[in-house]
Amino acid sequence: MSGRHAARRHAAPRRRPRLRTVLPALAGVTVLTVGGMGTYAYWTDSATVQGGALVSGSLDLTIDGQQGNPTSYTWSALATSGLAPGESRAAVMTVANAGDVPFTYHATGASGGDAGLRGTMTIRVVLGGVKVPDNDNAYPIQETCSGGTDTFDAHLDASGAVQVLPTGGGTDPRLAKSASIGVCVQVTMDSDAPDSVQGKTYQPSFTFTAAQATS
Amino acid sequence: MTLRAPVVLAALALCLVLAPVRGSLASWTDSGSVTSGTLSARTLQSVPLSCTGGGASVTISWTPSTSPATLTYTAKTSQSATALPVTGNSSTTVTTTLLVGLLGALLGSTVTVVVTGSLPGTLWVTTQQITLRYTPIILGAGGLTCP
Repeated sequence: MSGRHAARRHAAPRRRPRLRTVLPALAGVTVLTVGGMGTYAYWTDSATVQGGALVSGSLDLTIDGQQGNPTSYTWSALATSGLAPGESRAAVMTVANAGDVPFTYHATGASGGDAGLRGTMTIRVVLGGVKVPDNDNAYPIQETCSGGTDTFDAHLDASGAVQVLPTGGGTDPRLAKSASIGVCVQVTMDSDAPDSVQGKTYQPSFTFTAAQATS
Repeated sequence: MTLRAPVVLAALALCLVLAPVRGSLASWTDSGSVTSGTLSARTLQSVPLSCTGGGASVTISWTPSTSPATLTYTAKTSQSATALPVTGNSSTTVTTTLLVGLLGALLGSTVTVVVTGSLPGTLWVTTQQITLRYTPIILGAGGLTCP
């Protein structure tokens, strides 16, 4: 036996800490620590972004820059006096998309004025056409529409509106945002117009309808 | 078999719910109307007639209208379809000889001369008339008289 061994025998016996004692202590430390952490305030800041007003788009068809709705736009370019058999007048109206979305459109035509004269006036509608003036301005004055696509060439009856654009059965043309196109209208008095229509008046009208393009 | 009926009913109900939703996707529309200014048909001008002479013949004259183009003129009496000769598109001469066949002329009456201007190539015309007095010529007196 060694002295060392003897000393060891006489020392107070070391006791291992019991879980019953350690666990409450740990719990207390944890509580204190967590509670202490709550006292460390993070820096914060905030900023408010004011959103701009949300304005809905619009679908807006104009003719020569005019709305034509609810009051019909008076198109003076085609007006004339002194029309004789075999003569024709032509003028171009500009259909534009002044809205925010593309649309497709079509047009109908009707006529007013003297019934006899209506039966002798031929209307020709040319999408994308341009006016060709009669430079000599001598009888018979024959202004015409050139280029583009013919969509209508007949009399307009008073019995009701008829489709003049696009051609019957055709697909409504499309107009992109900010785009525009000319629609040339040519009016011709038939060369066999009866004598009875002298001095009479005639007034064609057109209604354009646009619908939002969905594809 | 018992499970199929509820399944079918559920599918139908789903369709009914979804169908109105699709229909609610209405696209925007806009319209504009254009009314043309008035187009007026021309009126051919009637020209004034002048009458000179008397007795065995009178001459009726006019200045041809050139609007919108030079009209082509013809003349006749209202009592007969027989055309009177037109000279230079601006006058016609009526003689008692031409009126021999007219009962009214033989008895002494009036004769109306109708001058018609036509726009070439069309059906449009303009007419003007003048009435002459006729008395039978006796011992060199009488005949046609301008109004």
